Amino acid sequence: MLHDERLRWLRGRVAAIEGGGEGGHEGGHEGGRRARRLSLGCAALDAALDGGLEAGALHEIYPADARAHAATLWFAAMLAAQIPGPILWCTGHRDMFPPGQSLPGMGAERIIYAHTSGLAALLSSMEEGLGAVGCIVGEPGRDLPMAATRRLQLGAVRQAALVLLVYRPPGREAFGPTAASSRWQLGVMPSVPSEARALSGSAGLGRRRLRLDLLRLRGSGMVGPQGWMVEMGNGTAGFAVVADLADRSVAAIAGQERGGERRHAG
Amino acid sequence: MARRGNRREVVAANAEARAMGVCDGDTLSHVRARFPAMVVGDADPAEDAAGLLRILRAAQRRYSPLVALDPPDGLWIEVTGASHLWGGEAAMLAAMAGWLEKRGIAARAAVAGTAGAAHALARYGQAGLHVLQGDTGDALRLLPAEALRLTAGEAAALQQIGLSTIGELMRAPRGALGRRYGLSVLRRLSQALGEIAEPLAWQPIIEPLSVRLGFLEPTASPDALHGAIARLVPLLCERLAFAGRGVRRLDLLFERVDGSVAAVRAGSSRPSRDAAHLSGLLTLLVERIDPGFGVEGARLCCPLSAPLGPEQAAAGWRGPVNGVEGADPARIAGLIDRLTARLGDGAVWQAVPLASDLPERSFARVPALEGAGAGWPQRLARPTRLLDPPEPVQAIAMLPDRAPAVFVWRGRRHRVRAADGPERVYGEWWKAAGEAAEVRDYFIVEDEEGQRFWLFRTGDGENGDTGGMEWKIQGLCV
Repeated sequence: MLHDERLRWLRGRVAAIEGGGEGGHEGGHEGGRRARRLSLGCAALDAALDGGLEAGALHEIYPADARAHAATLWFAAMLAAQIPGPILWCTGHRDMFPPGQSLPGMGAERIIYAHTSGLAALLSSMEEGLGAVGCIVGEPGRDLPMAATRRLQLGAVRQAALVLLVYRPPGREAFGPTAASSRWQLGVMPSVPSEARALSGSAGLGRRRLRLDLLRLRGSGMVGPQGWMVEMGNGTAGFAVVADLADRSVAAIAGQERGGERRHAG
Repeated sequence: MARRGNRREVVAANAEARAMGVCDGDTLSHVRARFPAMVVGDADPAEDAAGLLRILRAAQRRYSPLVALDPPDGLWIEVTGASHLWGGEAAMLAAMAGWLEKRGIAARAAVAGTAGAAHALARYGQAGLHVLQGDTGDALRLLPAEALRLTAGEAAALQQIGLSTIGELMRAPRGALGRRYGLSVLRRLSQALGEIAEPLAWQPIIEPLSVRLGFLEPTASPDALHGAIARLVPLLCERLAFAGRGVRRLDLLFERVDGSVAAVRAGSSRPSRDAAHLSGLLTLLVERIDPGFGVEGARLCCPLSAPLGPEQAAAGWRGPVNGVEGADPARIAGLIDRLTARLGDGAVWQAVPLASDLPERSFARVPALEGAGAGWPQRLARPTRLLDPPEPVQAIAMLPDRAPAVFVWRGRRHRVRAADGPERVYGEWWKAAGEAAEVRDYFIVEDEEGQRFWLFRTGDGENGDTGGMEWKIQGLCV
């Protein structure tokens, strides 16, 4: 009995520490900011997320494969653009193209880039940014250990800052557990070519189609991943859902991935 | 020209005179006979020494607090703890050489692990700048023995028994060498190789904005070093407030018990006398300090400051940063300083758009906070990832203006389903002579799997002088 009591008490403590943000939900002086949610620019998606993605938290963005390398960066920029003020962008690579990161509502002048070498420098730079800027983006080369993501998540909640981890391809080795609030995976899908824009002999580019998979959402009781086929809007930063790919299990995705990889290797 | 006995001899000549064959030790009459137009002047050792001291003072402010004279014509500068502000030792050395060259001073320079090795490499190494990475002994092996700061008599005596290079000296039995030629030869050799320490006579810092703290007894504990920061920073900030100035550069020096000094230098992106901010910067750097057997004093000084009014120093001042509302400029400046101290100069940057159609020239990296509220062109179809330099691809396309039907990049074949383009970009002849006729046609193409690429073809597809019709990939699009 005593043992159970103790365990319950400890669980309560852990929940209190982890849910530091939840405590401020009602009536705290920064309550408005804490409760802030990020829109994915699409009513259907926001509804599935109970009003949008939590702003003061850590979110992970994975590419499904090397083809989504450019799309993950765009997705991160779309979320970051909704936070006012400068954005700290920590990365060990120099392949960002600032003109391409300018989005409606966000010019690249808002981004402060920090060139880090090694995981330790990346993580320490991101933690420095907590408390100074409202949004921090990091590009780790491989999966982060649990302890590192937990520190980032706690810091994000405490400072009410949006922290995004954008993984570079291949991006998924093991999918170990992390403390992130949500985990997204982006893949590219062929668009419907636009005959109206066929200027150069071949068909013109249609609206961008992406496969957006929500692999994990903390505290939502979500069973299995949810997926959508989305289309990027024209002139806006949001999405439109084309098809709901909801009822796919992890195994199905993994199987499809493997099949896909074999095909590309051949 | 200097008088030596009855002769007037050359003691120094510039590069042009040396190219004409003038050597040290030539007599005045000899030089006059060969080159009647040569400009000669009397050597003035006192003025030379004063000039060297002036350079030393400037170097102390500019490069490192620890600077020592290496008479008659040299300086030692301790770069440990200061090179991170210049982006590494090589970059710092190049900056120093350029700085002296601009002032009309011909200089040779080297970075090495010991003062003796730096002295030898700078004077006797091959022309150019040296940054010694590997083994000191290997680098010195081929240099002449007098590079070790020996007297003329010692060098001549060694020469007589056939020990003319440092490598030969290193192989000779040390005991016999010491007995025969004196311990000073051995000491210089060991100092150059780093086997024994060489305390240098660092020039005292003459800096009005400087505070010192003496320890009651020597200490090497990290807590004591942090404690010294906590005591010194408020003192300095008081002095700064009185002078109405803010810190741009900050030096922290620890005096070790063996007489040597360890120093770190911090930089601030905008003038500051916020004690918490400055303490934070120094705390990041103090872990690089090696206290040795203990330190007995600490000194904090500010070699570079800028006017700072009371209203700017007041905490909580809010205003736009880079034209972006909602940011606290003091916090952002503090963040940038801490990141720069941690990652090095040039690692924290912002992008500003440049007026150029060529993608690789369309933005510049500038130090953070200098990227003023620049307006970026919106809604241009641009990739988010740039491949720099562009990578060649093999493509099949119809000339002159069609997008490729198929292309091969990094060994993978992509069949194009849809494409936008061409977007024609012309070379900038006013920037590079070879670009006068250059043309690039850019396409965004989507392959069968949905990945989008940014490709271009050099040349307009009709005239050969506009480019070689090669296809390249320059970026990945969303």
